[in-house]
Amino acid sequence: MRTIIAVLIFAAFLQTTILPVNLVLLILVLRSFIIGETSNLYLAFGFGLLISHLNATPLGIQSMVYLSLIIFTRALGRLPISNNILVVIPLMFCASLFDSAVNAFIMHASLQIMPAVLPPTILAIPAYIIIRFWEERFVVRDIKLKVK
Amino acid sequence: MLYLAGMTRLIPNFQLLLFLIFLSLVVFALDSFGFLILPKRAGYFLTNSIAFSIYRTRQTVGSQFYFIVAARFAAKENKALNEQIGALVSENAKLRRNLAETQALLSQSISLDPKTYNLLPARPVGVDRYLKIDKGSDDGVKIGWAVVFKDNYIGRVVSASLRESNIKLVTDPDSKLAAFSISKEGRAKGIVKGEFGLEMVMDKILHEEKISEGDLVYSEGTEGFLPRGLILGRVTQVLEKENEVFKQAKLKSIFDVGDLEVVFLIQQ
Repeated sequence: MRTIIAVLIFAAFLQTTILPVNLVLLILVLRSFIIGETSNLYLAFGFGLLISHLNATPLGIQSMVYLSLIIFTRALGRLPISNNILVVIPLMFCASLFDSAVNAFIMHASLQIMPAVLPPTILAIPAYIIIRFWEERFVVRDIKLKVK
Repeated sequence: MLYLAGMTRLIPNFQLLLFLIFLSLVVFALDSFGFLILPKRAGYFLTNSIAFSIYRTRQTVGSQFYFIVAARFAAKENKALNEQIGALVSENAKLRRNLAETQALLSQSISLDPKTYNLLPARPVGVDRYLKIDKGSDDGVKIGWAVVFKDNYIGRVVSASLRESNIKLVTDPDSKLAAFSISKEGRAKGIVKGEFGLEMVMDKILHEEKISEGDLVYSEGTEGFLPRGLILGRVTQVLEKENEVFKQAKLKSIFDVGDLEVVFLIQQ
């Protein structure tokens, strides 16, 4: 958990300073798609606030966007179609589009689809593979046995 | 309550989600009304320095990469410019050579009337015993043609390959030409022979004929392949002995053959 927080903090600073790609959204959505943990909601809330703070936008809005996307992703993850890895491409496209649309609405700016949506969509597959590899190989989880 | 339980089954942690959304709305409201100015200031104090550090790092790294790219570009540009300079120097040398040839041709046309003599310009490409020129049988060069420069006789074609010919110089030991000299005191006739490829000797000069140092020696033209009156050399020394029938004179060429940029073949 500490690792993912550190990575997200680094990604948040990176995307708000030098790299105009929504890395936090990419990581949060893909992690939520891979593992449906409650921690995703906390991360979405916390990093929504951090991104809002770093982007100098009203606090709280970004958190709500991330939370709604996490819920949508978790709902999608329950469907049989989620077994196909290619689902992450339209998922990231929709997530990025929604995020960009909300930010454009808040900032009273026009919606820039290509620069905001295309990079996360392209990065979806490699990022999915990396996150899945990390979560399955390097993250230790407690196994809770249900005894009836 | 039933609705909440149903939603929880549909969406896991639905209550937590509602709580976090509510919290987000509260934060949004507080921020909108300006209640979060102080914590935001404190946050900016921390985050701005980190963001600035990252930005500066990118600038530093970017400038280093730019230096590498610029150095590579400069190296390529330098190479291209050097090639361009090489091409220009080559072109300049070619133009100078053409100019020298044109001037020589003009000078030659003054010395030997081109209407009388059909001249073929050629460029010397080497000299050892023979003078090599860049014209050969492909250009119509034939053995026996005389080679001149202005009023001076250089030699005679002794062999011609496709693109090259050898000229037997007047200083060659095998070269023999009928010649005469003119001075204020009178004329002298003799035979000019080459000696060791360095100088010439005018032999068979009668004792009563007048010849002295500094006199110019000209071709007689009796051989048939070269015109009369071409300069062969200048007398540097007269060798005279009482008990011999003929006297001799040492000659030296007017110019160094190695310095010539162009010569002319007299086509027959």
